[in-house]
Amino acid sequence: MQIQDPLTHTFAALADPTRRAMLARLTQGPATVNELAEPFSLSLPTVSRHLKVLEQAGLISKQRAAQSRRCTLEIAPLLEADAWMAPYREFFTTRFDRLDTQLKAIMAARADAAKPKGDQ
Amino acid sequence: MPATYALDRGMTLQRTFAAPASVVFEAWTDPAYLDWYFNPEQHTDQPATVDLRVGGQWRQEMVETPEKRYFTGGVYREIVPGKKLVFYWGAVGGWPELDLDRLDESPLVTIRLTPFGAQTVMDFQVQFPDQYTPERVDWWMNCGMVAGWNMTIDRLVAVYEGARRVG
Repeated sequence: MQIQDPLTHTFAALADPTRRAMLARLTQGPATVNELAEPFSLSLPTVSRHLKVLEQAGLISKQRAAQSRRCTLEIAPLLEADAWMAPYREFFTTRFDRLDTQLKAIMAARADAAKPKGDQ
Repeated sequence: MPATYALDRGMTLQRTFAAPASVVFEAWTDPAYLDWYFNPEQHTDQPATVDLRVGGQWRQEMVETPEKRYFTGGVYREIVPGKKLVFYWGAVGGWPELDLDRLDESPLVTIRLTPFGAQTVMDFQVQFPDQYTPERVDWWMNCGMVAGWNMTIDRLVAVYEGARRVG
């Protein structure tokens, strides 16, 4: 049996580009299912299926407001996934700071070499 | 089972460098320029080696402390000079441990270079195979990197303290 921890749930939900686009839309504020379906040429059942995956991963919540159901982004799992990645990002960020320094040294050395070597 | 990366688990970093794409590519692939990749406070007498062809290896010694040293690098999967470099991250007998017969069990690194005027935009992506559990990624990252992270934190603290003194 495979134990599904929350992070695996989050990443699985994020794996689909349509679901990522839906989450991107929800960062602008809550939206109805129809509003979320609009940019995609997808049937409503397909959209509902995607929303269900997002809801089960805790990435969105649904509220009944008036006659329509509105979806709201839930940020907590995203923050958790982001925190999980932070050390790796840090590792490479410090390396790229040094790459930046290295490139400046290479460019300076080449500019130097290209200069005319004094008169005559 | 070949690795898949459908979970899209990993990270993307973007940096802009004041150098042409050809030079950024050289800094990644010419052993003479690869010093930036290892820990600068220490020294190695083992020069980096690069076999720049698909399936070829890049090996480089990382020295965190005089007692803690290991090889890292990668095995090239795709090479488009000045534009793109894709490699399996790791080294045989090093860290991350890399098995030449099971390359797709290693994290995959993709570097894309796009000219932007006289500068170059570098898109850097690390992808972890879907087979990895978060615990497994944590485990192999931690076993090689704890000292490196501490060094990073040291540097951050130094910068923070410096800023406080100025402020």
